[in-house]
Amino acid sequence: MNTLSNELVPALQVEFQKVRRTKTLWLTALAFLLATGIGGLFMYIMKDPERARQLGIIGAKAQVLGGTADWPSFFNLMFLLLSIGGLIIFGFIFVWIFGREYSDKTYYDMLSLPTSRVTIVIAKIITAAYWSMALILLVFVLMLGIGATLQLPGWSSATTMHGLVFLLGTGALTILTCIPFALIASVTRGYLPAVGGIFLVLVLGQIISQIGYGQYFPWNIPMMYSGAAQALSGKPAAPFGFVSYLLVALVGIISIVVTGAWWRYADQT
Amino acid sequence: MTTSIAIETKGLTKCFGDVVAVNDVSLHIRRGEIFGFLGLNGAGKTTTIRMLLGMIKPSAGSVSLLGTNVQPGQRAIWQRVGYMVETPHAYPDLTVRENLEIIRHLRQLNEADAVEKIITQMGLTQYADRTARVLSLGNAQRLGLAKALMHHPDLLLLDEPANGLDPAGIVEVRNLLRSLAENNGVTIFISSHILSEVARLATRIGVVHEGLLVKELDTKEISAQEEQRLVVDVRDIGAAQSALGKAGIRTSSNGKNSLAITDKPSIQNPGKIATLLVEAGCPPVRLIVEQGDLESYFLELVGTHSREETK
Repeated sequence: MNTLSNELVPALQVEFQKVRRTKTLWLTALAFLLATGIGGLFMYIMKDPERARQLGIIGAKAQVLGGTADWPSFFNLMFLLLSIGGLIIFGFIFVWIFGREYSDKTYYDMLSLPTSRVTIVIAKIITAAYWSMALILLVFVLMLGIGATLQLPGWSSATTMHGLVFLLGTGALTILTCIPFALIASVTRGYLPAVGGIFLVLVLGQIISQIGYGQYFPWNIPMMYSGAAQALSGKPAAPFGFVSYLLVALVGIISIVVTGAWWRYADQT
Repeated sequence: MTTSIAIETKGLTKCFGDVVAVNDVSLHIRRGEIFGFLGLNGAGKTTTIRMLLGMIKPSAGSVSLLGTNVQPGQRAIWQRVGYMVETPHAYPDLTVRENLEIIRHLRQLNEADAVEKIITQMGLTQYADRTARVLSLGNAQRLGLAKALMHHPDLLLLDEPANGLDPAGIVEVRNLLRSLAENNGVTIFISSHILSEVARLATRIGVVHEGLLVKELDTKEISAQEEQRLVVDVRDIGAAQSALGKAGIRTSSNGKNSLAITDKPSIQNPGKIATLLVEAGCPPVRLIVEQGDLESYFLELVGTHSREETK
């Protein structure tokens, strides 16, 4: 354990340094900034129904998704955006952190070192999770700023805390379901198949939800947890509970173990 | 435990499906040696280096570096090994210094000035704050070498280290590697397809072709290949060999209807050979003193091997 921490700290420093200097960090922040801005715009439109009617479809859509312009609606809207956008953006973060080593061919430098390959994998996963969580906190801070500027009604510390917990919970569940994309990026030595995998699970999630088994498809669980699935379909969410959470946890844990084993044992040609 | 052998492979074999990339390669490289691993593109050099570095598992055989068997999970040995595989690559968004800092962290080096020292040693000072993206191939190569050398390894495994360097850079790297071997006792394993470059540096050369180690040469044998020889083309090679043999002149075949003579008196007096052959009734069609070169020898070697394989 001591050896792991002795290795993990430098490995984390390395991963953070790589992330800190990349444009991808700012691109993902920009994506979430835009998503939160769009959420704020919806709230702005809904605050004034007359303006909403004038805007036609956009206004009507905002009504369907978010309901009224208040803090709980703003949070609900952001849960929805985070559930879908989170899978895409967080998934891309995992793909990028692992896939870039292969596309830049820098993985050679990480294979025959005193630091174990498993430690490097763990450091990468922690970095991706930290990066994703930082984006969620960015969303939360932006929401507070936008909500306060719009003077949205319904603010209370309980609502805000509840919102933050659900944002973080949705984020954590999404992160666990994104780890398999790191494995795909490693096995396929690049980005494209793993990015394809992200969109595949999004499509599959919709199909599986329609046939009533959404609670058994791990990539649907963050959406169901946040209430976004219900908002999207307009129907009551399918019941989900321990088994669903277990499936998400298993996807995350198994992916970490298999990714670590793959880096350790597979031929790195 | 110390051992006089730095690299030992026994029956090292790697198959990718039906393709045998490396076939039963056994190497014994002593400490302090500079071993040149030569072969054409696709001969199995990089696959061998990756097996030495534990990046790919052998289909058969074993690898031992500095007395330690290389296997998955083995880590301590890498503290003593530096390497550069294929064309060097670096994180394009990071500077030269930051790229080296990454390796310093992963190698768990406590020496805070290790990065600055290697930057100076490799002549990268003026590029230290430039991103790796804008480096020339030569400077990227220096960066790759800097990463391999930063932790003062006992064993260096380098894949085409002179690739992309200008002539001055090649001499500089050659001198650096020679100095590391001679003064610090570092064992160096260099793979290359440029025989002349390796020949100037290596104390021993292994020629690999189609996955097989076809020949090993030491310094003396390498020098011998660079000596002059008298090449005699004749119509009747049997009669010519017989006539020269009777005169006590040793010949070797130099292809169809061509003989090579390496003894110095004959090279200094080719007229005597011509006279002998004319008197024997098999006058030479062509008679020329050639400067031996390793490239020709190498091509001949791998060509001969391919022909034997075909038979």
